[in-house]
Amino acid sequence: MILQLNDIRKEFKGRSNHSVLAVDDVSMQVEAGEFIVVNGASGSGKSTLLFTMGAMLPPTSGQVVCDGTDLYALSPSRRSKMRNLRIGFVFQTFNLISYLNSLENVAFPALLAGSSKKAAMQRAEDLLNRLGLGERLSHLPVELSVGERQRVAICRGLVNAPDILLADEPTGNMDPELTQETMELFRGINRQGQTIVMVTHNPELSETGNRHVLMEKGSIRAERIVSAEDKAL
Amino acid sequence: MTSVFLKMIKARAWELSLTALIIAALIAAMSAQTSLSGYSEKRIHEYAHKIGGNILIIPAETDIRQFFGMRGDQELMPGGFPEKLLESPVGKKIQAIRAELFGQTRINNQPVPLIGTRLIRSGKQNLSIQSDQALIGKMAAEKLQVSAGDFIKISGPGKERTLEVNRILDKAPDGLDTGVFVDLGAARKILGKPDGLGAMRVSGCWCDTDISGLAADIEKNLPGTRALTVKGVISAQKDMIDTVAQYSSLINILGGLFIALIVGLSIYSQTRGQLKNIALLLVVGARPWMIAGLFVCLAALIGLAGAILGWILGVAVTPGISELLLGETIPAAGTNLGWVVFSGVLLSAAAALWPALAASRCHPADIFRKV
Repeated sequence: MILQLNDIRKEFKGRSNHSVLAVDDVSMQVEAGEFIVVNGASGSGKSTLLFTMGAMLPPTSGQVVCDGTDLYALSPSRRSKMRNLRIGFVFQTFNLISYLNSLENVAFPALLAGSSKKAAMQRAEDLLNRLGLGERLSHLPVELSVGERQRVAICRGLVNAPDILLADEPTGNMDPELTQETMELFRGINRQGQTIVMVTHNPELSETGNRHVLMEKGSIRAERIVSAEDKAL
Repeated sequence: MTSVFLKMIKARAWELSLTALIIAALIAAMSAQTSLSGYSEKRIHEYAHKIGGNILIIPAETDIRQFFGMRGDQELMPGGFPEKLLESPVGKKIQAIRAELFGQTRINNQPVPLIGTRLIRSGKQNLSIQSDQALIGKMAAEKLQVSAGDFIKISGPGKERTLEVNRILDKAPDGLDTGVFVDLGAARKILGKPDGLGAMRVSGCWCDTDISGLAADIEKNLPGTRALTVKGVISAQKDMIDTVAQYSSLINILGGLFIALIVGLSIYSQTRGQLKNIALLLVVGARPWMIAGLFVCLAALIGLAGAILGWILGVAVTPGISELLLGETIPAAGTNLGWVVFSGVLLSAAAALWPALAASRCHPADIFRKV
């Protein structure tokens, strides 16, 4: 098991002191090699759950356990280190650092993990080449197309060979063709053994992974294993 | 992290340069102020030395700085004051009075200060001046290219006079190496001031005398004059130094606080403007201390650039400012580059601590939700 969520509850306090319950008592386990697609309407709490899972947003109560360690019991510094080494992220808006080129954006987490500059650059270059961006190494994010930016972001998420890759609406800004292309990419990465948890509001993508979780009003409404037959349908 | 740091600087170069320039301007102003204060203190020391064991009597309106600098149009007191002083109750305490008249003249078309007196002291010698002779300070002689036995034509607001150079003074009295000394009567004619006196140097044996009391008595007997003693100057010096030190400390503290405020606001603005990048750096594994360190280093760099630039600017503008305020060109002094840089860097880094730490403690997800 890669990650375990125990009774996660996340409440946001608004300015007028009204609180909003974004995630309500969610428990789940993520096994190695899984490709989980978390689906739900806007405001269902799926992104909040993903951020909490990724040690980015402390829950109001509950635990996120990775390798026997409660992530939120760690100091901010050790939590950052854990994120760096074991968790990869892909965002809807890519979130690339605007003044770093593709190669530097991808290599950066590896450098933070302690790799030498040469090794980090080599690993970044290999990944970018694998995802067809060999010609775009020195391009800044603004010089890349939407699809290319997302691929750079995926490479960055994978550069430290994380235990789990978390993707938040990775195709949210894409047209159907590019969405299909990106999903193919995710499936390919998953086939190579990478554990992925992807959040999407697009119900058509719910069959992409091998487990589908449907969220509603902060809770898991339904959960099912996606069979090969489902995918064929 | 270094490449992120360097690229962050490049991306925000204008904003950072502007902050460094503001700091530089403040440091330059503080540096000029320190130089001017230091110079004023030094000047008062010099005045005290020039007065020596004498009491210097001058018209009350006389500007001391102009008097010792032999500049400007001199205030005058009545020419009969030496006799009046000797006849007064304090006269018995006085051994000698050297009456003087100062003024600006031209010799060989060059400006030269003229000192009219009857007796001068050069080194250990007392030298009397004849009415048709002139004694010249060493620097003035070099400037005018004259030597003993030459004749010089002195032009002033009054009559032009030609006098013989009797002697070149290796050690002119009161450090007036650039001056020409002539008989008081001749000076009055050249300067067109038939009755005036610019100063009187009064000497005597005052071992058992209350000098301050004597000076006060002299002022009482010679209305409209000021009697300066070394003690009085030292006391004025102490008061002035205390006042200057008080204001300098206040100015430096306020300047330092203002620099801290500017740097703090600049770093705060940087962190607000880069919230998304900060969140992103944290997501991909940057430790919070690295984020805080990034902005503290940035502030230190701004402080370093501002301090060096400010010090250079201070050296460049101090002569101009002193000319404007004091009428004298003085070089920048009293501010050590190492100390300015150390203070600038330390202050800037300290000022950045709060916004840098606040930025490093943010929760990435909160930022992504808001930005």
